[in-house]
Amino acid sequence: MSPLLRTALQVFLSLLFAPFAWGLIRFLKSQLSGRSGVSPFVSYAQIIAGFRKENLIPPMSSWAFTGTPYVVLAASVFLVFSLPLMTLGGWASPFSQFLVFIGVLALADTFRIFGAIDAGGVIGGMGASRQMVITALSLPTLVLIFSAYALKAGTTTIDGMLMSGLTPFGQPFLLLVVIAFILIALAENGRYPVDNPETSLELTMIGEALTFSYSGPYLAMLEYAAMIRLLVFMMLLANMIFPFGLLLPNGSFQSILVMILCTLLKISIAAGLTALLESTIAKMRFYRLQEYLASAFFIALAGLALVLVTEQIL
Amino acid sequence: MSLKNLLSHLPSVVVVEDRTDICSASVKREHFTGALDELVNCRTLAKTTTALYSLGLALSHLYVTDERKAHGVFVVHALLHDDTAASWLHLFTELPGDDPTYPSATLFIMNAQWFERYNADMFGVIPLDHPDLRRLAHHANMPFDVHPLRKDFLQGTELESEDIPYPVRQVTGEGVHEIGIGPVHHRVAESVHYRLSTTGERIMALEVKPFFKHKGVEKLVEGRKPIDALPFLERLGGDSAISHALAFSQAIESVEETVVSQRSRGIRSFLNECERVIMHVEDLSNIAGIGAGYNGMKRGFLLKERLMTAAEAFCGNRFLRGLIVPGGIARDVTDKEVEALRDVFVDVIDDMTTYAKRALHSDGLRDRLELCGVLKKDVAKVYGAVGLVARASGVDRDVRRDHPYAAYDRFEPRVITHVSGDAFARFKLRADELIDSRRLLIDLSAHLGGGEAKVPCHPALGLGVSAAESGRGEMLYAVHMKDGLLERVAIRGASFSNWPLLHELIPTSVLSDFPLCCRSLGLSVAGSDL
Repeated sequence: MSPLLRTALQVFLSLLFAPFAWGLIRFLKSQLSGRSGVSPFVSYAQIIAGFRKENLIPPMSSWAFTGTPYVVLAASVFLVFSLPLMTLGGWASPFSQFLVFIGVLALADTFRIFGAIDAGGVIGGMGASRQMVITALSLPTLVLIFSAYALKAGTTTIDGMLMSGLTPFGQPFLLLVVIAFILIALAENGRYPVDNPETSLELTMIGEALTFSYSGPYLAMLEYAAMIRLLVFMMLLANMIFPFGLLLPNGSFQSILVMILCTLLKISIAAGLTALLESTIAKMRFYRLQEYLASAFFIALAGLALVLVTEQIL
Repeated sequence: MSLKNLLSHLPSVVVVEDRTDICSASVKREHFTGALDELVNCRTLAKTTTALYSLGLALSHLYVTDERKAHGVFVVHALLHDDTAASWLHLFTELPGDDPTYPSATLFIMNAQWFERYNADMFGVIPLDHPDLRRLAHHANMPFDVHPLRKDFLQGTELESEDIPYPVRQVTGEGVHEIGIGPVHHRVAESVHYRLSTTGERIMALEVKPFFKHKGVEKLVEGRKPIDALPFLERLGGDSAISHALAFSQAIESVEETVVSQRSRGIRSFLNECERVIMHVEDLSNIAGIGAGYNGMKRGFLLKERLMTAAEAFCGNRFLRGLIVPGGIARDVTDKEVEALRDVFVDVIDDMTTYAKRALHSDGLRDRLELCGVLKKDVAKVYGAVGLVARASGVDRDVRRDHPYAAYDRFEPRVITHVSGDAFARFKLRADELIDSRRLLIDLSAHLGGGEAKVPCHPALGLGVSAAESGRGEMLYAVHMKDGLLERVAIRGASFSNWPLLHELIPTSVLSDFPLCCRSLGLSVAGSDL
């Protein structure tokens, strides 16, 4: 199969599965708290309904407000386009440089913050100040995480890192890196214990506060972008731990089926674990987030140190 | 030492009537504030009276009646509670109808401030030198100089819609950010406006305004028979039908000191405990929900639903309405019905206790709750905090024990207090009180007592005062009867006393703790915005 076809397939499936993954977490969380919960497919309806609604734009806002949904959505689409989520060695794999990945995340976060401040709303400004703290503390940790990986794998593309076949079971440093990555993934996607994506209390919001002034199609775009980003982190994490079920360059048409099944399995496991985590722990006080993010940083640093030490010895 | 003896030390006060539960005394308006100050703060009385009173009485209610038709005066009434003798001191003063002013009591007694602002709104009775006489209960659309509780204001008058902004206190300076929330909220939250001034995450000042949906119930019930007024009062607070009905019925009974049967008293206490359990289960779920996550909250709500379904099976509605009437209970319930209700409640309390224990062992939740919204004991006293909130700060006061009503003289509740006064103490206290309610429910259902369900109770003239302890705190009713009809019903919901506490708790705390502080106080808007 040609790399272009495989990349196209990955983009298509990611965009298709993203709302499902999001809805699945919500559904499983309801189940765990003893409610029947809404179907995981409701998030598709949520996106479609958003596009049909009126788009209200605050009168004082500028291009930063209107541009944000496009930038954020484009950033998310770029991630599913370039990263090895379902296929290795895809057409766009050279773009999966880890610094590009982190840069695109930073771009999206920056624009979300711009959009929130630009609307001039009270809650948006509050959410922006909180998101700045989280982004500023979590992205450097991502640099450390992938630096450690890159050193060991001898390549700076995430595609190449997964191709190298390193697993946390054979490489202890990777275990630390994966733990740090989980902590950062929760923070970057606004999940527990950093943020509560389902909160309706204005004063405790972070992620929701950023989209507070958006409505209709723009809100749907931002929500869709968040769903895609969640899927990206889920799949990356799953592939780091279990790099199987990925579509390889020499893959047959049968392996497409295997890939789809494995993807759904990975999504289900990741969603189940997220839901379990969110049902059992309390949200952290905002002032304790530095401790949380600093621990992620030092775990990643330990992983990097371990790589450097073992490289020296061997 | 009785209240009468105490008052004899105050030369300006004349005792008018001395009953076992209420001691009424009149005072001239220029001495009114002085006498209140003396009774509450004990400036010189402490030297002359016994140690029992050296701590002073506490102001429970300050309300006005319009008696211009009969005597050409407004009367300002103060209710002070005397816990040692289980009685109320009713101190009143007359103000001429054309000059309804008196020296403000707020200068000496902090918790008089909302009462005086409310009276200024509703009657135009002006406390002179009040430090903050902005409108309290009237919102922006209400014209100036409209005083709905005056007798010459007719029910159903169409008013012009004005737009008078409420002068919110503002904090200015570099980096100060003002956040206004409400009065329209998401979901089914009640209408409250919060104005927060923050620097970063830290809150510097708060202004809270819960009065947006004034229902005018005090006006609605005037001129009705007590039994006709009851449905309005039961629906005042939504979830507090029993405590409203109980406090009101007892106040009516106290006018002519009607004695109700042992059995109806037993059932009243039983129902009172049931309502407290429902409120505690709801509050525990809400606090856990905000602190930890929706998981604990939904489980708790499921339990609350079981309680409310059981209540519906018991009396035909989910809120236990229509059971308590002046003179006893509306219909006699069989022991079997009571036992069926008890079994559900005991079962739910056991489940909730397990959840609460699990929550108390969760590090994450404890971290959120501990040191969140600390209310110190002296502050709680000065603000006149009532109920569970005051007890969590170490104020040892519970109307069920201090002014025993219904069957609480036979079955004394265990009054539990905590010292830390934070959200954690309020959470734990609710869980502790559930366990005591479980004991009371079992004891009460086993010994309901005998007697007929209802005795006739049709008082013609006089004043009745009574309080009932709801899950939120003390509901206080003062009822003035005239010709067998209600002349004035002055209601002080528990939340009316506890709302101002937010002004003390919120500044210095951080933004994300704000919802938790509010929830842990368990405030109700409907119950204070009458």
